Amino acid sequence: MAKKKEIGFDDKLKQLRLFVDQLQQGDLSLEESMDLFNKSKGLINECRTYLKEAELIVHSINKDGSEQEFDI
Amino acid sequence: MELSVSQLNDTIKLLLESATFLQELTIVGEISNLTKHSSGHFYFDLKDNDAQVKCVMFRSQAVTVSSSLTNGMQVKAKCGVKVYSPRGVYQLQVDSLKIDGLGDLYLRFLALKDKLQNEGLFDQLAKKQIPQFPKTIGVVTSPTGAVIQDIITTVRKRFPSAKILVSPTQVQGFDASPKIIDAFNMLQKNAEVDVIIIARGGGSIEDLWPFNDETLARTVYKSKKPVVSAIGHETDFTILDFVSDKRAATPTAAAEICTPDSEAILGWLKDQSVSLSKNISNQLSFFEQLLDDYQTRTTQSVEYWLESRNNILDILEAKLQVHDVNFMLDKGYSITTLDTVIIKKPDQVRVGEKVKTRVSGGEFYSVKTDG
Repeated sequence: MAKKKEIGFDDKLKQLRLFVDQLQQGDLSLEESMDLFNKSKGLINECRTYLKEAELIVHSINKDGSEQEFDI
Repeated sequence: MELSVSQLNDTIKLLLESATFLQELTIVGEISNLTKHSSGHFYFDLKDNDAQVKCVMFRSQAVTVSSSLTNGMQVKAKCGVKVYSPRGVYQLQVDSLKIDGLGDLYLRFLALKDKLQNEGLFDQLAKKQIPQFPKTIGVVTSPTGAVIQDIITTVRKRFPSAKILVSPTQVQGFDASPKIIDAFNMLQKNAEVDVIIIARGGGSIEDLWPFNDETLARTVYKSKKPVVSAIGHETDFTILDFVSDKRAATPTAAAEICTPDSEAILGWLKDQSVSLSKNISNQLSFFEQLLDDYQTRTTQSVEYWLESRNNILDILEAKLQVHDVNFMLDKGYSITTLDTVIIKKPDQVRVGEKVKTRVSGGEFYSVKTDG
């Protein structure tokens, strides 16, 4: 991975799982642990925000592939 | 002749119901739109390829066929023609039914099912995984009615981070299949869409027939995106249900299959947060303990070091004392110097030269004589 791209929600969850597992195995140095801890906390907050602040978008697709708001 | 509507209907009722041959009929047809009412009466249509007629079978007769009766069955019905004048409709009042085998549509359904099954279109191995966290859920359905509303409500409740893209289509009638395929392909072509729901509310075998279309089945089979079908009620099966990657009993269930439960994830995140904090604080206190331990041990060793050095100093001091000039002077020794040179031998001083002698209490000068 050359550059850090904005990763999707599922990738964030996957990464979080990985970090938590690594932390729980406990064979890391304190610096590594603190680093993973901070990264994990960041991921948790990002995931939470993603879930909590989401507002469902409902569109309908037109014959030409364009979209418009779906009249609920 | 001028008649009121009531008079017209009453006249027709009288005409039809008094004609004996219309009261002792055996009608051959296929059961459709069957409703088994809670009162025990059965309501259905009898139909052939070109026409259909409404029928009622009252409870006392209905019990004789009861549960075995389903849509698509070919039957011979002993019946009489009745007119329901308030609505100006005629219907058949069925006294008894003989099941004559499966109806045409049902046989076609079975034939297509066998054919596609043999071709491997229903293979479990070919089923695609439904994404756990979809970004966009495509929905092929009627833009009006309860189905799309149920799906929207469910997704909003469970995973509002997703987006719903509705591809509206007619879902009823024998000519609906190409329209459903077009609507499906619109979503197929859209790069955003992760999963596609094809849904329709309950209905008769005719209503659901567009979903038994061979081209639709092959289109869905070839789809790059996973497809969830929710057609009719739980007891209804269409070809689409077999070929789709997942069959849902209802539109709500389809929306549930396509979405994770946000509440559950939030709970999981909370657990992770707690366990992370616990984990890191455990690790920190471990290190703190380690540091404390190091500190104690360091202090101890420094003290020991100091102590041992102190002892050495004492010894050295004692040793030094021997060489302490003052100590020697105190004992009565003296030091004589000539121009800062310590005199160790008599011939270092010539007669008449003045030397300085240092003793315990101070110093004095003297001059060397001949003796």
